[in-house]
Amino acid sequence: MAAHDTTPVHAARPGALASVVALPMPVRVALVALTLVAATAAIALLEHAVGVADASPLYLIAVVVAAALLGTWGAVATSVIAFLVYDFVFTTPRFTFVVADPAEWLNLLLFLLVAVVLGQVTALLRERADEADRRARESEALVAISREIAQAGSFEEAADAVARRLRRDAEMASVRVVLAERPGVIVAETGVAPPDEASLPWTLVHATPDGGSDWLRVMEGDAPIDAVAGVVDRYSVAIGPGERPVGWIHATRVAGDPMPGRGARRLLTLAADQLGIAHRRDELRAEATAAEVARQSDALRGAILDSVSHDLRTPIASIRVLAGGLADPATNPDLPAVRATAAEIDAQGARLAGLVNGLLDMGRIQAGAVHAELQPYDLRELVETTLRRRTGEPDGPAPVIDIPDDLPPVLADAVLFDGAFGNVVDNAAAHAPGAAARISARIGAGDRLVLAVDDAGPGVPDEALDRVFERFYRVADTTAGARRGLGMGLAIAKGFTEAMGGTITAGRSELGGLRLELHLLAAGELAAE
Amino acid sequence: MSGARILVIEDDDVTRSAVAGNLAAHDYDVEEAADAGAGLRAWDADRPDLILLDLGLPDRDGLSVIRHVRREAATPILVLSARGQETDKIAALEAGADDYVTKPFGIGEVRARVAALLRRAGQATGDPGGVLRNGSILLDPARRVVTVAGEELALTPREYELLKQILGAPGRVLTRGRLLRAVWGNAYGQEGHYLHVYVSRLRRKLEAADPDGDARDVVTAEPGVGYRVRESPAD
Repeated sequence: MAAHDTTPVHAARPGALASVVALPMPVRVALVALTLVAATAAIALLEHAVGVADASPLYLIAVVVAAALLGTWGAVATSVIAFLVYDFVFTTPRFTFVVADPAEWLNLLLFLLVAVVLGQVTALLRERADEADRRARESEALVAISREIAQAGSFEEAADAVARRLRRDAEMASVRVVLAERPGVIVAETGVAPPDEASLPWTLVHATPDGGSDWLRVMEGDAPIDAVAGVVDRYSVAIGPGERPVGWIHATRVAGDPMPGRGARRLLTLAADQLGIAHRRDELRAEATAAEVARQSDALRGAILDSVSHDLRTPIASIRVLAGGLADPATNPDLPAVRATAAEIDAQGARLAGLVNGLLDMGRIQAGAVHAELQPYDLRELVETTLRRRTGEPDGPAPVIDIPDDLPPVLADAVLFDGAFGNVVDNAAAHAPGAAARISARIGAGDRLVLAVDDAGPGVPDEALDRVFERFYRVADTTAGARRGLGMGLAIAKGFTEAMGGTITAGRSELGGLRLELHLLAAGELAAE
Repeated sequence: MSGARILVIEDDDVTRSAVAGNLAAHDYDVEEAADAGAGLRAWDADRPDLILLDLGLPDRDGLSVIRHVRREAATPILVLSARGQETDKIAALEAGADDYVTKPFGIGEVRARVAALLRRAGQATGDPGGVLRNGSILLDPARRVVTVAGEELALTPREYELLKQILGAPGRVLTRGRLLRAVWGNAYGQEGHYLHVYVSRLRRKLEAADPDGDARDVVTAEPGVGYRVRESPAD
């Protein structure tokens, strides 16, 4: 738009054009003429047959009809014609425009005055009625637009509803809504597609000083743009503040229809305002959501940081206290006591190493830095390797293994499998310290190999099953004294399983606790030699 | 084998002096070096019996130290490597290192590996007749026969080659690449990708032949690196 000179050329047309009587002009003129003829005949009858001295007021009926059908100027014209006809036909000397009697002159002038005033008043009343009617329809349309925008869940829905409503109520051939922030995207459109936006002959300028609006003809150089002259007329209304509109309503009319009236213009303007509000509402809602998300993730981060800090500091504190005790010259522990303390320091160090390893694994998963080198393995072999690595950890009874011999090889990364499966087994051991877990495998849906670990612990409520894989999620502590970790184990298991192209699910176990299933890719069966 | 001379090449002072101190307390003759340059000078001057080598050294890559030593001698090298650096471990093993321990490690673990490596270095390499033995497993290459606890075991040609490689490397770590090259040759194809499946199949056959013994434990997986072969139990 900035490339064009814009020159105002056209003010709003009077409301008279939007006539209630929707008949074509010639018919209305003919109707008025007919009334004039009828009135003349009636006057002739009354004055000559009945003997009424002056029946000229009958012409006032014709004037009122003209005022109603043709408006103010029609009424004035009819008054003048009636005056001339009466003068010509009924005043002496008859069939001349000459009036002999000065009293007749007065009568005639009085008639003209009354006719003109009556015509004006009638036309005014009719315009008022028209205006009231139009306002009623307008407010109906406006209320409808407001309601649709209020009910719309998003700007897109609002724009769509408004476009439909405008097309009907502002009598446009098509309506299109576009947003500046989404160039090339039509947010809403109804009716036949308007021509491309480079050719915009008309623009509705949004804020005139008196708060109204006006059409501008867009000029290019000296000539008005009329790229599609004779086909359609096109109007554009800015959405949002005039200097930097957030978008536009483009509307077209079939060429030859009159310019949009004040009502249509007001409707377009108000629809644009409402859409501007809807857009702002969307923005505010998005900002509020973003703020809420940020607030919640801040709170979550805070909680996680507290928890991680606590879990990391505890073994560090133990190590420092124990080592400080040994280093203290005031104490004189015997050799067995020194060994016991050193063993405890070593155990705390190992615990700390486990926590740090977990955090580093988590970091790798989050950074997307986990790359699986998938190779065919015997599933049972992988399971046993992990269990062998874990022996020596004081976790109570060894798990029961139920893996059939005839499973196809699994496609896995040995290190990631060890991390995923090891964490699942650790989880089972931590939540059911006294009871053996059960490890089983089968072929599941989609030829996946399903490795399941069941524990006899307290389990997880159904509604929390999906959350066990969230980072730092810990089920409310139901088993006093259960060994607590950072709540990273199952999140790592999920991350590593997914890195291997698998999935992990949680459910209820027949043993009473949690059942975790790794669904892993199967490698093709190895052909026998 | 107390009194063996051990060279510890590690840049972290606390780790180095703690490891060296503990080994010295166990009657080893320990020399310390804080970087690869000092380590190689000590190697040239003293020819220690075993080298403990940290892979992350400030001046040179630990791998270059392994290659340098391997050009001159078969001295056992135990690599100290961080967790998650499986590719580094594999590279070190393929360059000629004998074993590795993962940081953070317990000092007991390091001592056990050092003792095992020294033991093996002192052992005669195999039976005069070329017969390989590990626990109850016996492989006679001259007759291509394998027995477990005295009973003959039927193996496919691939399984036989695998077991031969395994029995020939007691107490060592075999990388996947090394096993593939030895059994399938340099241009291993589709079957080679099933190495892990072959190994587990072999382990099952060994278990079936010796259900009450521990023949199957002759080889165990080292996730991400390869397989560890059990030291042959003293006969």
